[in-house]
Amino acid sequence: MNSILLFLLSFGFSLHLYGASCCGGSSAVPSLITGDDKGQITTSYTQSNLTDQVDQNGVWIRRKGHTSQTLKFDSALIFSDRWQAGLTFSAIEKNINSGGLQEKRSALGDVILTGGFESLPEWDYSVWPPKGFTFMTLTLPTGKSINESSTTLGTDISGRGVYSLGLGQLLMKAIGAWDYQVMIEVHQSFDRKVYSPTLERDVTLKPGIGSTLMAGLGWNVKEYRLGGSLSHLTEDPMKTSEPGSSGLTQQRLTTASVTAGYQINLETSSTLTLSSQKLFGDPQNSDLNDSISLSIQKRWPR
Amino acid sequence: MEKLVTVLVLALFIPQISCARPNYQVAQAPIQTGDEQKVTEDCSLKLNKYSLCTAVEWQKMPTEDVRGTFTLKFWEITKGNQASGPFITPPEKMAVVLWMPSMGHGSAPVKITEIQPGIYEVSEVYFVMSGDWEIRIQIKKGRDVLDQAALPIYIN
Repeated sequence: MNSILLFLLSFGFSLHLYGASCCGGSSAVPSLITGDDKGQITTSYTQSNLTDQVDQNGVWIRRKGHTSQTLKFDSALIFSDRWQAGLTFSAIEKNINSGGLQEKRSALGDVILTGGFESLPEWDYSVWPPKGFTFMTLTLPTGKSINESSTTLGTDISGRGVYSLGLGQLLMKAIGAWDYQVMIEVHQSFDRKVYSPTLERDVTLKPGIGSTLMAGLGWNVKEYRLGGSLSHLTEDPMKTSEPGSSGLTQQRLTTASVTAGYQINLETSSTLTLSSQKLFGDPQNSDLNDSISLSIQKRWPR
Repeated sequence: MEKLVTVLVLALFIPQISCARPNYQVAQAPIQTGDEQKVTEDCSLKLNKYSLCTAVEWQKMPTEDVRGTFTLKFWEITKGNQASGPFITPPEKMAVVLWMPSMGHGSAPVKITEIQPGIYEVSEVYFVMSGDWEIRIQIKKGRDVLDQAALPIYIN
């Protein structure tokens, strides 16, 4: 029974967390090998629909005509017993119909490199102590930030425009038919000079610190898993070298997700995820999306 | 230790997970501005270095479905007024930037057309998100901003 649950847990920790899409935000939650596998690749397709914008004063404005599709690839490989490395990259297509215009663009998102260590191995099964993974992420600004956007409706925005270094801890546990996960991640982003088409000159982006908190719960029966999670994302305001910036406020939003997973065979599984960013929390300075995602994961045993 | 980390994460997390309380405002004009919108004898947008006054007069408000258009007029502070001029062309290149000071980014570039000396039509005005913005009227030479006046506006 426990080995089945471990297989189910190794649906692979590849949460679909959505940052403030207005500004290319993305969560730095990596894809980690959490089971007894040597490697894994996860392909996911996500369709998102913008429902609301929340300004810096917490005022909600309904929106329509903004959709995006994201194709994401996560890969992870064990290279030394408890150590692993991973790579995540994505392609984002945005379709915006607003202001009498329709724009559609595809762009590469930010690439994320991951290093993970099984800091709390589960040598023998015991009731309470969870399994734990410590991870570090490096986000590369391969996507274009809102400060670099050259389109009218911002359809070319696919990243944050800055390098980020993150550190996180994931804890997970299976108890009977139930499993839970909690995760905390903190990242520091670094100054970077970019060209602003709006200002027609270079501008230095001056980001700060961001964080992600996540808690999830799942119920497993045979080859199926039903689960839910909440993740809370915060991001310091992005200052710039442009004078006159004022009233800078933090971005924050909470994503609620429900998942249905199916283990096709011992090495392959699929997950359907429904997410909404307008159900919980007190969002600020963010775009709120409803999303549906389908992912397929292929694993290679040790 | 594991229990402590779990409890700590949940303790940080639980206060955040109350149900969302959407704060929708009552529908109103998509743009709210101050008294600068009214035709006035006073100069509220000054380009001090060149002793110029400027004013924004909306012809078409931007909405979610339509980009906006406004007229920009320039006159000497001591020799004219918004209603009757005389209007003069700025001594250097004039630029208009839509800027969101609270988030440190701009919006789509606008299109500027000179209607007559000192009067410009600024079209394709579109704000990529709601919130507090500034319409920055700039006098530039090359990439250098020599003088600037900013009109604060709130987009909802």
